[in-house]
Amino acid sequence: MPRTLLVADDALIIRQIIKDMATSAGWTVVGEAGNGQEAIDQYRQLRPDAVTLDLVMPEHDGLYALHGIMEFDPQAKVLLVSALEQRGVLKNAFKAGAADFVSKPFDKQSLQATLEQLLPEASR
Amino acid sequence: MTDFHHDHDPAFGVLHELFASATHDASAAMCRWTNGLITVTLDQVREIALEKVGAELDIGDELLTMVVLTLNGEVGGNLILLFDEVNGRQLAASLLGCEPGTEPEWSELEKSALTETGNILGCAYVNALTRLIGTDLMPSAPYFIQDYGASVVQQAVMTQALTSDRLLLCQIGFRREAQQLDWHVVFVPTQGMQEAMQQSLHAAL
Amino acid sequence: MTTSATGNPAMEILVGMGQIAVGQAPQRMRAILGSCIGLALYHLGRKTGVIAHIVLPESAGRDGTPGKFADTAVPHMLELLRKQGLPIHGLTAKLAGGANMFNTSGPLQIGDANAEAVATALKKACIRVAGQDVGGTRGRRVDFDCASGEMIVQCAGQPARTL
Repeated sequence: MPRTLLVADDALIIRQIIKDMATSAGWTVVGEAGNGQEAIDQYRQLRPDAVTLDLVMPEHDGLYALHGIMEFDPQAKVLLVSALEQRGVLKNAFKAGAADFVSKPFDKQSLQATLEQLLPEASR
Repeated sequence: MTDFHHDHDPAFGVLHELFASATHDASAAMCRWTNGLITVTLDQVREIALEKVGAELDIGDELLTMVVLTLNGEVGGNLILLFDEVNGRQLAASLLGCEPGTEPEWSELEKSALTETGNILGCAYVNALTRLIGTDLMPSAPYFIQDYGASVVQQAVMTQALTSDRLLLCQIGFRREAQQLDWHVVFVPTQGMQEAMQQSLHAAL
Repeated sequence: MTTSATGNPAMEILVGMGQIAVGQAPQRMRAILGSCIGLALYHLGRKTGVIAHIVLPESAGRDGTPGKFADTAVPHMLELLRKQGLPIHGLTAKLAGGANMFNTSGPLQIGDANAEAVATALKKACIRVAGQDVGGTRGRRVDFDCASGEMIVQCAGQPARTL
């Protein structure tokens, strides 16, 4: 059974890159979100196995989404993917339940490997 | 009123040093984003008289393609990435791995490519400045705008213009290998940001 | 990157932020506006105008050139015209700009505040507004023709409008 992924980023190009990478690695991308509220709504509806989540997004940001997702599902596997790399912000994010972090611009293989660690194929 | 040169002003030198350090990090990010093609250098940090902003930045009176990223708050500023139509489309095309678009309206993917470039560059600066001044800075989501460059820069300098007729601007240039590109970044720090940077250096000494 | 409206730079005056410039036919004056207001006071008979590129609504004791603030720009413009021997009666005003460029909320809704402050200053000076194009979220390029008194407003992505 393929692992399912929700991709949350306000940048269409990033969503495209992550989707292409994840699909070629055997994931099924079940949804996309362009802001924090959409990410929460999509998560609730789709219950994906994992989420990639940008931090800087319009309207509601990634931290808002993270809190919303973790409140709904404390077991959610959320991988932060962001160009913003600040100790204070990341500390709060990990405290809120984020599983890991990949900085942008990312190497596709690194992102794939990190996603793999988050939810190994063998575990499904 | 003319440009103000502060070659011998230690405070000005501090700002230049800090921005140069931040630019180094931004260049590394830009290089990774463009698969090694593009690097960024700090062209100059200078004060410009308010009435000369448009002329001195050489942004003319034509429409430009821009990405704006705002750091809200007293310790903040605006970062504007400026391209003319041709250069903007070329960058988008190289990021998307396709030929430059020719339709009058940019596609959502093209806009997204440029906007994300602004995000990566802007956040690289934000990350570096956060480390340097020890304060978390939260940028806005970047946004894509096609308008008169001088109009956009006017809005960006407004917080400085509230208190001064001399505006501090950082001008950043782009290079593809040895060739200078006709893209520009202007970073306009608020007074609060300038003071935070001065204080951080004094604390470090 | 700069275009010439007439092809003759000597006939064109670019009015930068906070500046005030006086022009006579056949000169044209240009300003690029975001949240700033481009205000032209014009005497049709004498084909003489003065244009200010106003940045902020009120001086409130701040330093700055007279053209920077709406409350100092209008009196200073009138003074310049007086020195040219032009009476206040017979003057008309045209203005453009005052956009909210980044579509933000909060204290920096300067565009709206500028437009309001200019309107107040003109009312105080009893000067009739013959045309205006203010507000919105887009920048404007304005060209004021001292020969005709027309203000041509080019807003990004829209047809030019003549005030």
